[in-house]
Amino acid sequence: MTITESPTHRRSREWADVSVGEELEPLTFEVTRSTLAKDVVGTRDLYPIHHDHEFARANGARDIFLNTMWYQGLVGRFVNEWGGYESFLRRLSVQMQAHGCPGDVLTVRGTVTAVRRDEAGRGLIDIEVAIANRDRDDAVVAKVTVELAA
Amino acid sequence: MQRSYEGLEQRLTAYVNQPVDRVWSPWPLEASSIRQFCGMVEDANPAYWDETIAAESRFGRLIAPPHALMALAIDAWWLPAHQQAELDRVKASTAEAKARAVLAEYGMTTVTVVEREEEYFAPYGPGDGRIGRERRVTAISPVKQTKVGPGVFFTYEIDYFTERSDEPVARARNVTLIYEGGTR
Repeated sequence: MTITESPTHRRSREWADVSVGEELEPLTFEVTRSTLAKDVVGTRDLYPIHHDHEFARANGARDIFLNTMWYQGLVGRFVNEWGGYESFLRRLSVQMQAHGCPGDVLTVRGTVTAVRRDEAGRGLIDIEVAIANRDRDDAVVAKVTVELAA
Repeated sequence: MQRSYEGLEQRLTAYVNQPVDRVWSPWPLEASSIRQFCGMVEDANPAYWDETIAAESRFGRLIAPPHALMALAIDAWWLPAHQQAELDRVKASTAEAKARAVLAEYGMTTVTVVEREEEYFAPYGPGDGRIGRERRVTAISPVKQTKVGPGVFFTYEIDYFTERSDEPVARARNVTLIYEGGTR
């Protein structure tokens, strides 16, 4: 069968070709007020701290900020763009250490920390992800386990 | 004057690891919701967008980003009053809601997610019906003085299901800080 090619993604990275220490291609994302609006639409999270500037500031934040679900989406995109559209996230943890606000430019970086198989024989890759903002390199950190199809 | 938190920890302990009911998402999982999630972070993965490529893939069909679970299962921001009342009734009866009500007595009503960890067991996608979640409080810390105000670390786990199968598709662990906002 001929497989239809994707213009954006490889099908799958080969598990056996991945090495510990491999760095993923960094990804940059500019956060605007529209990004925050799309965050509300995309996650349906109406908690005011993500769209009401006065509420956010009154509750200790420098401005409205991106929610956890937005970062889950960004990290998922980042890893699948590397692993291919047949890669499948098995585990994801996200820790927000600083807020992502309008005007920030985020840079996502990732490093392979383990190449392993689980008890079912699935080829798994562990990746540590750090998202930098203007103030710190680890504004958000994530740990990902992704299964490669091969 | 500083508040006294005496007895609070014991009151909250009663709500930890209590049995929970399954609460369903307001409507079935649809491709449009998935694409709004993907559009938010400009994720072009064809497994979410391209029916032909998705059908030829190992998934055999369009799927949702597994990590979109929390977003796809979130409560509607508005429902007709009778539907909202029914949902409120179900949720108010949970141990989590009762624990939150106790915290509210102490002004701790502002919530921020500290850490979210998810494990995905199986792909899911459009056609799988609504998403069900069973949300269990697993730990509540003593009151801490944090940089945003006094608060507690409130941890809960969620098992996620779809109407397609009784096997969970994912499990999440959430650590939140629930604090008294506006006290700085």
